[in-house]
Amino acid sequence: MSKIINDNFIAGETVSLADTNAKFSDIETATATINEQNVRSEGVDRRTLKAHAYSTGRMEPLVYMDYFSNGVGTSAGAYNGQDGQAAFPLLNGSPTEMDWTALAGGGVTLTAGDIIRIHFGVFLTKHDDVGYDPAGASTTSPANLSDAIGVVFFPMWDIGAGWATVTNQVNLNNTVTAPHSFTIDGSTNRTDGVAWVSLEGYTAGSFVFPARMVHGMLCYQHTGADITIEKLRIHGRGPVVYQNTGAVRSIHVPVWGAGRYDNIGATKGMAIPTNPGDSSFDIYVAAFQMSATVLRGDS
Amino acid sequence: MAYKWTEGEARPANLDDVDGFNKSYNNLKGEINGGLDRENLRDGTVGDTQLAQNAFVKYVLKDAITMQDASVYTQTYYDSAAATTTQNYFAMAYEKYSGGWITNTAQQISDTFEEGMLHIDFNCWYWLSSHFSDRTKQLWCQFQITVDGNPVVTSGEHFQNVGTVHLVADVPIATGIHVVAVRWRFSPWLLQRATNIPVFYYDGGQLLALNRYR
Repeated sequence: MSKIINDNFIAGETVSLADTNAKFSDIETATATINEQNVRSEGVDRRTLKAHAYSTGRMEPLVYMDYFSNGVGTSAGAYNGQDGQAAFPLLNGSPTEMDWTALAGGGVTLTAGDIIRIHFGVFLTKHDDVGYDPAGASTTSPANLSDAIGVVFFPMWDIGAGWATVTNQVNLNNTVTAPHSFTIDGSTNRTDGVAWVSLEGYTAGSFVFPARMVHGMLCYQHTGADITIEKLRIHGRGPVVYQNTGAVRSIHVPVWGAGRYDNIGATKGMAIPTNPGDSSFDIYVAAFQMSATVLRGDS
Repeated sequence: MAYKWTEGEARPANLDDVDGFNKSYNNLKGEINGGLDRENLRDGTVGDTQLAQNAFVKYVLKDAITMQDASVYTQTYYDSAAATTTQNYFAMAYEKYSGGWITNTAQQISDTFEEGMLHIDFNCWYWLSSHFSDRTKQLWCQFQITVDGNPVVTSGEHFQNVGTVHLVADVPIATGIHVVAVRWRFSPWLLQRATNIPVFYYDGGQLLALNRYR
C-alpha cells in the first residue's frame, strides 16, 4: 500500500514543524514503494520499459524464444529406405536442433500455466517412387480413390531424459514392425504437432518432386511441476497412412507393396511403391526451420 | 497531463497560506496516488522485477480439434482383376455434406478477452480422397477462421490427398466475450462419387487465441 493518506491543514490551526515534516515523510515513504496504485492506468509504455536480453532470463510475458534454420537452401539431404517402420530425426545441414543447455539452469523452465509455441517448417524436396499416385496406378483400376498416404513431421523435446514425445502427443518415434497402427485420440495420443505432407509431385528423371513446404505447429500448455526443456528438434516418419484400425483412428504403418498396395504379379493392386518388389522410399528433405516461444500469461 | 515538480523558493517575509500550501501539496499527493506515468518515470527503468506476472497477455488454447460429426465409412480398393479389399476410415461422406462452410461449434473458443489485439494461430492436418487413380474428378478442401462469426482468414484450396493447414490472423478486439471458431468446406458432391464412402477428414487441430492487452 503506497497511497498517501493525510488531511489538509485547516485554516487557523497551529502548524508545527513536525506536522509539515510528516506530510513530506508520507511522500518519501510512498515513493520508496511505488506500485500499481501510484502509476496511472496505461502509464507505462515502451520507452519506460528496460531493455532486455533473453540470455539473462525471462521478462514478462516472454520466458524465452529461439529459432534455427538448417541453412541448406535447396540442397536436400537423403533419408533412404523409408517405409514408416522407424522415425528419423532431421539432421541434414546445420544447425539441426535448438540446444538450450548452455542457458542458466541448463535449459528453459516451464512452470504451470506457461505455454510453449513451437512452429516448424520442412521442405520435402523429392522421393524416388516414379509413378507414385496416392490413388494407385490407373493401370490396375481407375476406380481407386486417393488413400491417406503421406510423410509426417513432428517436434520432439529433451527435458532431461533424452529425446521424447511432447506430453500427450502420440509417440511416433517408436520403431515398429509393419503392419503396425499407432492409435490416435483426443487425450493422450494426440496428433496436434503432426504435419502431414503429400508425396504427390511432378516427375523429372528418376524422382518425383513434391517440392512442398509444410508448416507444423504445436502449442503445449504446461501443468504440474516445473520441467526444463533442454533441446528441441524435428523428426519425420513415413510414408504412413491415416485409417481406422478396428474401431479406432490410427496412423498406420502398412507393408508397402503388399495388401492393397500390392505391386507384384498380374493382379497387383494400387502398386505403391510402383516398382514390383519395392517396399520403401528414398526421401529427400531440404530446408527446415524451427522456432519456439515460451510465454507466461493468464489462461 | 502528468504533474512535474518544479523547485520554488518562498519569498522572504511571505506568510505560508494554508490554501496555497494544501493546493500545492495535494497536487503532488494526487500525482503519487495514481497519477504517475511516462512523464514522471525515467526511461528504461521498468524491468522484469517491476512487472506483474500475467500482466500483458491472456491465452486460450483449444487442442485435439477434430472433425465434428464424422462417422466410420468404408472405402473399397480394387486390384486389376477387380478383386476388392476394404478399409474403414473415420471421416465425412457426401450423405452428410454437400457443400458450404461448416463451423466446428463443438471445439470453438468462447472466452472473455481484454481490449487489445487477438492473435490467432490454427494448425491441423487433413485427408482428402482427392481423386481417382486416373487423376480425374479432383476435389479440394478449404479452412477458415471466424471471430464472432466474421471470417478473418481463409486458406486457399488444398488439392493434395493429405496436407497441413496453417492459418494466422491478428484482429483488434473490444473487451468482452468473443468466439473464435474453425470452419471447413470441400467440393460439392460430384456425380461420380458414392455418397457413403469417406471423402474428407481433419484432425490434430490446435486453435490458439493470444490476447495482447492494449
